Amino acid sequence: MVATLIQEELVQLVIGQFAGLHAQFPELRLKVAEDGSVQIVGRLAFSAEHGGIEIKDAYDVLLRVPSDYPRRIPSVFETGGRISEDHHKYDDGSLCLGVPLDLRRRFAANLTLLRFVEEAVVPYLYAYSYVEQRGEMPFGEWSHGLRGILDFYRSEFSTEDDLIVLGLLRILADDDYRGHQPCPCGSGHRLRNCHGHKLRELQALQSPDGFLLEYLDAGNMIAGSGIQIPPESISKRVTKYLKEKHHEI
Amino acid sequence: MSTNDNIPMNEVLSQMAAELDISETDFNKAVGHYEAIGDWLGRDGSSIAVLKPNIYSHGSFRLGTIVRPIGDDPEYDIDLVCRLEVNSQNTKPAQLKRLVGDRLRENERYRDILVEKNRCWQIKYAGAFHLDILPATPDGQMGSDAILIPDKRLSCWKCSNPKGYAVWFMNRMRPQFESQRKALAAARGVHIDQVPEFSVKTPLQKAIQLLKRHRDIRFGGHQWEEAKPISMIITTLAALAYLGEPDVHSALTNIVDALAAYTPLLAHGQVRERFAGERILTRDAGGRWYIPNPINPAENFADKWHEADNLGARAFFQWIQWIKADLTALGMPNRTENEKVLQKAFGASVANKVMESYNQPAVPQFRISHPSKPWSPR
Repeated sequence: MVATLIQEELVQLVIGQFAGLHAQFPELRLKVAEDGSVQIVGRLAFSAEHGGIEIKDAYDVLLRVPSDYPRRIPSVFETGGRISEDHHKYDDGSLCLGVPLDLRRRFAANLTLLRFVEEAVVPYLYAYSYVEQRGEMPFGEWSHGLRGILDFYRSEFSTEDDLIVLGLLRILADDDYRGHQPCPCGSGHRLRNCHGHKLRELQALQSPDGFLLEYLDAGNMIAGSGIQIPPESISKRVTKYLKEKHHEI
Repeated sequence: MSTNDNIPMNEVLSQMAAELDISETDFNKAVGHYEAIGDWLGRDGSSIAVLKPNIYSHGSFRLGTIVRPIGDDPEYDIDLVCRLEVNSQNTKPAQLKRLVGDRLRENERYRDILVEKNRCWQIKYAGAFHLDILPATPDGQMGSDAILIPDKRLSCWKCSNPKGYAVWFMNRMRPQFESQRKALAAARGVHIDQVPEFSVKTPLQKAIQLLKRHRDIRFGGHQWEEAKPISMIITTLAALAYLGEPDVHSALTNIVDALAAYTPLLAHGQVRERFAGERILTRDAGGRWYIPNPINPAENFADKWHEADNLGARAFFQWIQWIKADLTALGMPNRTENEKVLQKAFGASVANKVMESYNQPAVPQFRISHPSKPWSPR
């Protein structure tokens, strides 16, 4: 992963990448604010095709390039007031282009502004135009909130069982990958011969703390629905933390 | 978008021709309609079934050079021959026409949309096209495709061979036609036979469509409107002058240049020989003009050109001069000027419609293959 660039280098990087973006989207402009923050604003006109259905459309957009770009992707706002509030958006109104971990994986390497717009922004806008025209999403959508995150992990781990997801998330949250231990999916194989590869792949995308937060949310939801969480799926970090807390008291 | 960008002229001209053409839907509809008419004329119980009526298209519809007429609510003119096996020796054109008309009137579907014209019957499909049905009879002396058709005044028979002409015309552009058809078949992933002939438009066909449109526009309201060159002359001369150019812009330019080379004939001057051994347009010492029908040299398409102080010829060369000037102007790298010329030459509606797509900023094209599914935090 690239270390955070100092501001001037960031601006140089973005200006360099903007040329490629502008060649495709001539109505976008680059704005460097006095504080050095970088935005891309203007009309994003595109023609895109998926499953034989071509849509030609244009949206007014604002892309906010984060100070740790390209480690994090830009946040994208639709400024024309066309995309409704209850469509996939974050609280700050920026477009929710996908499950964060999924996006991070897509753009972990070779993130450029053009690639980002082509592969994340245009499909999102295409999908919105598609919904406007046909009343359904062209390539599906994740459920809202935690359910969507768990469904993402289900699909990553090829399972239909939230408890298996929890067991695998625990390893990521505890940073406790050991290839010879049995895989939590119950296959009877060792981790390295089963879900190990997938865990390694995901591990590189987020810190253990990030996984721990998701693990806690997931555990909370599962326990809340009355399902007993097996002892081997309980986070060692959490147990340790609680013990220490107990001692303090 | 900057106004200095050059217009991709070949593409624009090609699209303009496509815009003037009849749509594939209307084309198929028209074929369906005339086949139904043929069936009505020839089916059991028809008074003229014994004459084995055979209906087929001729003229620009058959040649793929049809052009939308000028006007707000234009109807395409579709020319048909209805061949009936009668003896031309003892049947008058008027009698044959009557036989066809009587049978058409027996059908209430046709009765209300049937219009009697001088030589033919017209069936109008409002808003789209009308079918002109010309009665004809086989010309036994001239081979299987030769027919006799009524002359303008319906008083006597004259020779014609629209099928033969169509074969000649196709032969003038066959290599281009075959290669374009092959490319279309490959693009559509079908066998070459599954690409309808109508779908293929060669640079020659497009050039003729543009020439005819230019003639209609530039002679509209002009004092010489009545003397404007007939489509048969434009089509024949263009086909003769066509050298197999692969794009419509060069085809059009070369055709016009070749025809302009005959202008000195107006003053009995010398013509540079551009087509060795093939004089496509001649004038004899007596001042008569000669454009032979390529499949029947006895027929002269320009037999009236000398009348009224060579009005037909003067109108023709005036028109060639107009279009040559327009093409020269279109070759200049001035977008605003080019647009004006296109409007003046081919009509504002068609020009604007085609130019519209070039005045919009280019939009990048994407194929979405592995989209990220949207998610919402709550």
